[in-house]
Amino acid sequence: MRPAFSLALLALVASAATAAPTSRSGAPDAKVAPPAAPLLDRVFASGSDSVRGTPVTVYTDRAAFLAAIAPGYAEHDFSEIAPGTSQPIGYTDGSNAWHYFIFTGVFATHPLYNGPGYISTDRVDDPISVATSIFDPPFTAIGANVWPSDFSLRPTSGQVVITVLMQDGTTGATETVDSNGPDDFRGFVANAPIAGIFVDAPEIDPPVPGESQDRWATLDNLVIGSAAP
Amino acid sequence: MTVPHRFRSTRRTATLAVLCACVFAPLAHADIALTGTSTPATYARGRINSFLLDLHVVSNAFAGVDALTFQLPEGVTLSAVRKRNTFTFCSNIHPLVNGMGTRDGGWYQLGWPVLDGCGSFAGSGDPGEEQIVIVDLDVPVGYTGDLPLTVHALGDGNGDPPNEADLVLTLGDEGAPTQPVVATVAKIAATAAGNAQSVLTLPIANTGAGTLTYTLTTATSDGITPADCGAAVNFPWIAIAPTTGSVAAGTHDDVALTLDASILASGDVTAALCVASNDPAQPMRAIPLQFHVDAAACAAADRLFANGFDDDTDGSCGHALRTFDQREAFLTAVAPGYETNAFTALRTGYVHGPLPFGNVYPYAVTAAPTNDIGDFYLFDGAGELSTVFASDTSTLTITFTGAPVTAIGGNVWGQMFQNLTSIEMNLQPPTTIRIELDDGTVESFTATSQQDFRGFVSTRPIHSLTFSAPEADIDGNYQWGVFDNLVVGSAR
Repeated sequence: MRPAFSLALLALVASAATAAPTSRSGAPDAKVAPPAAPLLDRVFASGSDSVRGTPVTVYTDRAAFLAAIAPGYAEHDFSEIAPGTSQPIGYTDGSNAWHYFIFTGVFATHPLYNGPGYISTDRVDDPISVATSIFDPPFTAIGANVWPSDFSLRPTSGQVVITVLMQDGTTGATETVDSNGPDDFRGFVANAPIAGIFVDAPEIDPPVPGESQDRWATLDNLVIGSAAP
Repeated sequence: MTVPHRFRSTRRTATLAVLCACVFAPLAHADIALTGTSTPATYARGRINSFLLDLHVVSNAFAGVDALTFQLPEGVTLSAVRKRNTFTFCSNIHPLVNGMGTRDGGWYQLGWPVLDGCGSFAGSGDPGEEQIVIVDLDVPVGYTGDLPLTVHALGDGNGDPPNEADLVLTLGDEGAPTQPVVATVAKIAATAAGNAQSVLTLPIANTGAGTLTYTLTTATSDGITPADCGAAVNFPWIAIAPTTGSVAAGTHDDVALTLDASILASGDVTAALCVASNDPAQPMRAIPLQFHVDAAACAAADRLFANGFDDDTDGSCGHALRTFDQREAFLTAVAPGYETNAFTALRTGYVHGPLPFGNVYPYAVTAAPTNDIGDFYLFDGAGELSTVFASDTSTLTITFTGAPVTAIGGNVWGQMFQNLTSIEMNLQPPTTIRIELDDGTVESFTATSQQDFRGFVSTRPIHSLTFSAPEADIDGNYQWGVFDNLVVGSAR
């Protein structure tokens, strides 16, 4: 299958999953509370979690997330990525030969715009998409560092909204991160196949005088894997 | 914003008619081919050269070009690529521009290097589909001889493989100058307290060959009409040292210019500095000089500061501003450590300002008027900052946010990215450019190409400056006032 066709399929799934009210930036409208993911559970830095069996568990601590997934996961620090615009980036790796793309824009129509060793987007309204297709081996765990950056790729204030899309077309989780910088981590572990995530950085509202309200989603240290048995 | 092929409906219909006609004829399966020419066909060393490439994409299978890229010899880099007059019959084209600032770059189709099936530059049977693009090349001073520009077309997969073609355009070397070329200040404006003397530096550079010899005199000037340098007039308030000299190629002299306010009444006086030289292209160059004398005396007038001007940088004793219209002359007045930005890798689309740039000399760029959708529209590959709309109120403002900046210069011109009455994009018609510094100084001139340059070197910090192109052309169209290749630093 040609990459463009694969991406088109992913985008079609994505468009179905992001039918919620959106701002101009494509993020959930700040004035509208994002819909709570059903049965969403969260594990904080302690890594403790007393409730099991929920569809998606959210981790804020990388070590706890890695402890919750099986060995053989795929990990990318994007050190090989050249700064500037790029086409969608595809990988096939990990113990299950997971096949997934990192792209942006509906139908991947816009380029990524990467920094030295991390991923961002060219167009401010575009989210970063990390997604696989229904024809590829399913993964059930995904995590990354996420933060908002400015026009010059510098980390800046704001929020990042991560939407986890399941292979069955439902939204597995919607996580809003009040950014503290590039060390912010979110991981998601599910008991069903994950189609991918959409990482968006909504413009700040209200604008701060003398500061651009634009924010670009930025991502690094991606992990793809399976939930620990 | 509109897209170029939006205006091509007539041509599109014609092309579709040709395609329909092909149903009744055996389809050829020719591979992609490329022909074309460059205007100009020569390059100048040591600057960014702009080439208009009139390309023809030839394919009897009506294949298009997925990726149109440019390869350059060592040392030469791409500065920008822009479309002038291009056409495609694909409805889903999403090329991206990559490789600016390197030796290999251009337009790449989604999915590159996989062939897309419908290229973003359409081809047709011999003599091919005309595709006109603009390529800016940054040629270093040290590059000599022929410059091979390889245009590489990666076909979209229609027609027979290998679906690739190269066109090598050999650009000739205009050669090094054979004569001396004088480069100096274009304009001087100074202010001093009534009891102060202003001492500032007038660089006389030789950007040509051989030895430049020069003689400095003064003449009357009203600051508006060209000065008559043939009739020298000595002004007791102007002292020049030395008044004659010689400058080897690639070097410059610093001439001390002393303006004595103590013998003048308060108010404005004007004169012209006349630079006579053996530069055959500019045997006499007049530099307008405006000197304002404040009525108030300055307590620190007996002090001479490190900047060569008896100014304590707060303007209490006075200041001077030198305006340059030649990059080479400007750089002779800038201290080492300055920063340049060719804006070869901007994010694109609609964005809100301020946009941050710079490291040692950070600055923010804002665009006006502001819009909800964005203050800027940045074209991929253009390497320029531009406002969303072009109008008499559209401006770009640079505000310095860090270390004091006393030298700033760049190429400034008017760009017609697109308009509703022409299919041609990225024209650079003669445009009135207005630059206003935060102290109220206004520089206005007619820019005719992206080679036009303005630089300012001040004895006190420049906090901001605003660019605009506030006058419409005869058709009522406004140009976007844009700048590029910005140099930010301190006065030497």
